Amino acid sequence: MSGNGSGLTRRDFLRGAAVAAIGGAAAPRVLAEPGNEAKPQAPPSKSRVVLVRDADVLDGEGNARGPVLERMLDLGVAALAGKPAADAWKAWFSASDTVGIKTNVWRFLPTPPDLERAIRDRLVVAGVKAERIAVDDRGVRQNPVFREATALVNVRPMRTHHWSGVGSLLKNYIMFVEDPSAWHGDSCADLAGIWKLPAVAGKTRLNVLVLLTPLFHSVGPHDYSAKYTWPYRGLLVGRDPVAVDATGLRILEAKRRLHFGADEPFPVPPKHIRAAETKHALGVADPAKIELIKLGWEEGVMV
Amino acid sequence: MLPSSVAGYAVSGPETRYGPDDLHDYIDGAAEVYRAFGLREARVLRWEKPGAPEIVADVFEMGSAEGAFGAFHHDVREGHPAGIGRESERAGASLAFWKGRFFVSILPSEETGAAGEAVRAIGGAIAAAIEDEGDPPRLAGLLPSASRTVRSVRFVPSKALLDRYFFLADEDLLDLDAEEVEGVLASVVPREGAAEDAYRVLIVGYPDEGAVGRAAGRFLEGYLPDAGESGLARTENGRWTAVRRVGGRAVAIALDAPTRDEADSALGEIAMREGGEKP
Repeated sequence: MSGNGSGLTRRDFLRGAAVAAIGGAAAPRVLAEPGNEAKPQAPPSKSRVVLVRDADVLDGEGNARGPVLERMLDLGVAALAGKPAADAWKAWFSASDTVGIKTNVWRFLPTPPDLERAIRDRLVVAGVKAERIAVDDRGVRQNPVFREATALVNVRPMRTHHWSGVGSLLKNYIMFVEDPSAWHGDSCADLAGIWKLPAVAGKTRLNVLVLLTPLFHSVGPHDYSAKYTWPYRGLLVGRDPVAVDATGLRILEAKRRLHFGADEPFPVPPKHIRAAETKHALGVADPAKIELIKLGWEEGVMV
Repeated sequence: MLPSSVAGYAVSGPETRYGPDDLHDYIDGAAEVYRAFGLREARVLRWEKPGAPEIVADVFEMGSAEGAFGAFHHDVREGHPAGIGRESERAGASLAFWKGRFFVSILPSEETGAAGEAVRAIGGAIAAAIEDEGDPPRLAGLLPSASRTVRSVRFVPSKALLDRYFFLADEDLLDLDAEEVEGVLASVVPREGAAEDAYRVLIVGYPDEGAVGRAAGRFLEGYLPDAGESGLARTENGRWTAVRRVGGRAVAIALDAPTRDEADSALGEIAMREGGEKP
């Protein structure tokens, strides 16, 4: 049903017609490997996501300990690839690549600099030239490395978000568009559409969702209160950003249930994650389609 | 308005001011929200005390008390009232309140009891300096009784904000982006039901009867074409949506009510309040 013959209404979504009506859903896309970026492949039966937790990753003041964080990253990458971490980086990146590390600088909960450095170091060891690696967030559209990037690494903390429900890996690419607010409609439901744009399509080879101290509820002009963070001490690593986001979302939902004492929907529904599977076919959000490997500290794991 | 020293804290650095056009330099992403509520100016001041967390106060001067109400109720409020301003909330050591045309948020860099006390003192000083009390949006007074509304009553002066709270349609079916048009949205618990059965009630006010008629017609045509003369239809999720003109200058809509009677009675109650009757 469309008002005055154009545009969608809530009722379209209720009846499920929107998925078919909108069209444009991309064919299932696997993450790019060097040399096969343009080759469509059938999706794997399950998307693998690795959760790594370490009780020692935070110091007494809640700051990340770099060496522990590096160890967690290596464990996650190795489990994800099913081979030693160094071999995995070499399989995913090559000397001919130009790599953008899309980070997140939100001042209350930025990507830990030590994690950015660890990723950069591993890319160099894998053969990528240091000058062809850049770390950026809000300047990606102007950054020459990102403009020429053949590959991307997506790394950011997960948190609740006032426009999209949660700040996710999917959401992290909004800085690649000229007008981010144009994607805010309907709780940013179509964020996965950004992943079809030329600047990013098929380039993401690794996603790292940081859950060291996730923000599970937002208040105030800055969306932040330390009261609503907790020391989860985890990293989620995966090749399918939708599967990683969906797993992170389950953890935030579980924390909200614990905190509020009952199912407490996000004030803004994070519908973009589910829509990334059902409408955009970017990856899988259904837990039944996700192979979750859990490593390390088990207390309070929640998934 | 902003105290230079309080509870052992002293102001640190100059006050910073932002307008609607550069607020995004200070607030990541959410600046659009405050602009939508009619932001005139945001003032930011920091206080420090040796060995204690820094405290930052954001004072948003909106164009109206309704805008300040809207900014306060933009967040889900689960904390306890602090008795400061017209409405307030303590969430851990932080404080938010609205009074007059002002919405104020005070946040310490760390959650400590001492910082919380200082935050409260700073908030009290700011509130005392605001002379006008301010009133909530008039339309909020038409909503079903407070005991049946859950969480915040949202102020909706634009379609973007309605989308933020409850996506209705791509199109601005209710003309929310037009001049002198604004609404309120609330979750309402059914007369015979539990909080988890809550549905939404939206009331939109217009400058004249013509605008009401055009918006109601557009909503019926675009969203409820199956409603007919009754203005009520069962939607695809098995719930009921109904629209009714109330008084001469407002439209009330019950969205996803569990039963036909519930939708009908909610709109009837709103119409009675608009008519000056007690439901």
